[in-house]
Amino acid sequence: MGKFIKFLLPATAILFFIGIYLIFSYADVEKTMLETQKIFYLHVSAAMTLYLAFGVNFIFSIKYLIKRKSDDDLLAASAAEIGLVFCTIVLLSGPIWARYAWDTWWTWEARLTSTLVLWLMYVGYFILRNALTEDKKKLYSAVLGIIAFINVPIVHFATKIWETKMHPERGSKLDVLPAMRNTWMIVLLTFVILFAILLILQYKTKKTESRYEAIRRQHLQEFS
Amino acid sequence: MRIVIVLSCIIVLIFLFMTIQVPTIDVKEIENVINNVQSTSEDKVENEAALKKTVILIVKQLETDQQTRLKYLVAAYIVIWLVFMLYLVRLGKQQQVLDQRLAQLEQDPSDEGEPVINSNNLSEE
Repeated sequence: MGKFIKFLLPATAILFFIGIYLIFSYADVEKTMLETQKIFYLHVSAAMTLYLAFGVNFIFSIKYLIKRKSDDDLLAASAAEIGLVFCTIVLLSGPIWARYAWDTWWTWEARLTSTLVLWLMYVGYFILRNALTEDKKKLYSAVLGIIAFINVPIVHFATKIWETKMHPERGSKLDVLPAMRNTWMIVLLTFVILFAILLILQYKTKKTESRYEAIRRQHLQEFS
Repeated sequence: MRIVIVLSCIIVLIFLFMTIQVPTIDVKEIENVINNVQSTSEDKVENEAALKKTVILIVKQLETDQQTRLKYLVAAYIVIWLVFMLYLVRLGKQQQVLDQRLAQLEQDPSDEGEPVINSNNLSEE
């Protein structure tokens, strides 16, 4: 695992700088949004990665409910935490673009609102985990993880469900040139690898933490 | 960890600062182009001074607009970078606290002689 990260870390750093270079020097300037469209390379990639992160949380939450293994709970929690980071990035980078394009930082448009609800649900997931005792938190957070994931397809199809025209449609409807598509693929790949690294690191930390807690409890019992 | 974060921040900030340096067109350059076009064109504009003034204003407006767009772009990238950096700092601190706890557990005064647990036993099963 350690060797895997040692290889992935420099690879991600290199890919990140290649991505930045491609965004500013290689990718074409979009005709209607001009330079501000370049925000989307990171914004959309972060959105796709958050789907992946919450998807991993969903899968391991189900797995925990079936097998009741602590490792599944730790993986689910780690994925949710990283998903929340990517969701925060989406929620912060979007309004910067909106300020230029719509002349407002925030509007209660379907996709924006559903993304905020998604973010709040996963914040709730961690509040719940911190509030409950060890045995209860695994079960309840697995259930909440499954419920919260229902919001992911809602976010993705929000513009179609509520037929809003404000939020730009995905690539197919924009004038996407090969250079733009290639750049986006590189940035998306970087984010997915970054997600994998952070997931491994976070999982290892959480596992050590849970073992520490178990040993401490055992130690206290022995001396009491 | 800190060195990596600080270095990466500096590199990204320099890179982003370089990207917002929009090349500006000199007024004399614009005037020269207008003079060239006027001398070669069949349809000459009579009020040359007004033409030059209008073209210079348009060019300056376009430059300002481009600079504004690039500022939004850079702001978005800095925000994204900061979120990642804050998360990495949080991860580092989490690890630090865990290391301290483990060290405490190893040197627990309530234990007689042998350390309670070796931190190496915690990392892998």
